[in-house]
Amino acid sequence: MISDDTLILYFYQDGLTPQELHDIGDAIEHDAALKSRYENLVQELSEIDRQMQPPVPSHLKHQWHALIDGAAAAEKQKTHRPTGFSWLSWGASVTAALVVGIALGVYLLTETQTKSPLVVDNHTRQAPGKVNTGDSFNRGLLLHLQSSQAQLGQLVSSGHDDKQTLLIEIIRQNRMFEQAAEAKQAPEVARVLRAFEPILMELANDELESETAKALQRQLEFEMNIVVTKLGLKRSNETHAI
Amino acid sequence: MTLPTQADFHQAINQRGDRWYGACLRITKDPELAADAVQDALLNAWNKRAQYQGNSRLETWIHRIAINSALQLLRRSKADSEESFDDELIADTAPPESERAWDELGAGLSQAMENLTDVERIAFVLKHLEQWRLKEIAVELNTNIGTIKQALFRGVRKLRPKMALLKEYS
Repeated sequence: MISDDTLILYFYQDGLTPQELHDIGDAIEHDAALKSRYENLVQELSEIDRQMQPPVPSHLKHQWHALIDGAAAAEKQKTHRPTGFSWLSWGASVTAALVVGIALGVYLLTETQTKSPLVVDNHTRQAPGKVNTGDSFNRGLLLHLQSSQAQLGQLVSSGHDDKQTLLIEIIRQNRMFEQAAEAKQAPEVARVLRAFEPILMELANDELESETAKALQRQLEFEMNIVVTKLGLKRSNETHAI
Repeated sequence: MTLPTQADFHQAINQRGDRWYGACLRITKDPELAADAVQDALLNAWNKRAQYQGNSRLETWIHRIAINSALQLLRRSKADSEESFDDELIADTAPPESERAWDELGAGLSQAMENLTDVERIAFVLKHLEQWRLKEIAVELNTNIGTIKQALFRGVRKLRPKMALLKEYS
């Protein structure tokens, strides 16, 4: 008696030896009842293929195109990085280094004070004298976002090369915090940061129309502001709790 | 072998973006994770396009990367909730209530898939819709072929009555 499970494997032509495949094929050919069972299985499984594909939301496709354009633009910029000195580029690099330095410094300092697991969204009250490292991450993230907002504010008055440098720096830092959030088991934070990247990439696109760029910049600043406000409120609440 | 260009990627998105997203949505059951998976896959594919051998079409190559990203993201989200595929196989519990976007897959298929556990769903999607070999699925899920076979059998068993009904109506 050939079971339905074996017929499933026969249908997929996988998980059976060549001899088994041959024997089952032979049996199906000579056994009407088995043939009928197999045809039913094939028809039912084939029904799944007829089901419609889910439509991808149009804004996602737009984001994916922008992502590729941004990645290509960033790559082009990297290979044609200007050699001339620019105060704005220099400023962006210093700011980036400071933000990363402060965030890492705060993190390392607090890491040495406690071995508690890293929790970004900390709802539990801290024991006196204990410092939560998740809070240090939040402070670093807050600094990164505030710095990014300030840098985005300079985009309008920036030349092409400065604009590219600023955006690449923001993207680089954003990825760093995204990875840190992943490492700290904070997928929601990582997801929010990841969502900024296509917009940043699109802003780096040379062929972007001025109005579209302004609208994207406003959107990004607005979304960053929400996160900054949430982080600020959280810190404020925690301070009161302590 | 010439590197795939920006235009090639745009063309691939236009032609196969729906399929990548659909496959990732079937695996993750979460529209945000599915969108993240495709985004990660595109960025990875762009950054590693020098590794593209040209043995398969570009969109097929990206499709495979997207599936891997979806599995990775699902695994991470499972790790966050302290569940695992193996736990699920042992417990054989029904999955939680499906989300709204999951219904976008099409009422018939989504209803039928609602009764599958994560492992059953992934085994079925990768085998039936993505045509992976059982061995590949086992390697990807870090388990053995026997476990994948059982998950597939159970998945098909659960799907068949509903597919039979759909067949009658269609």
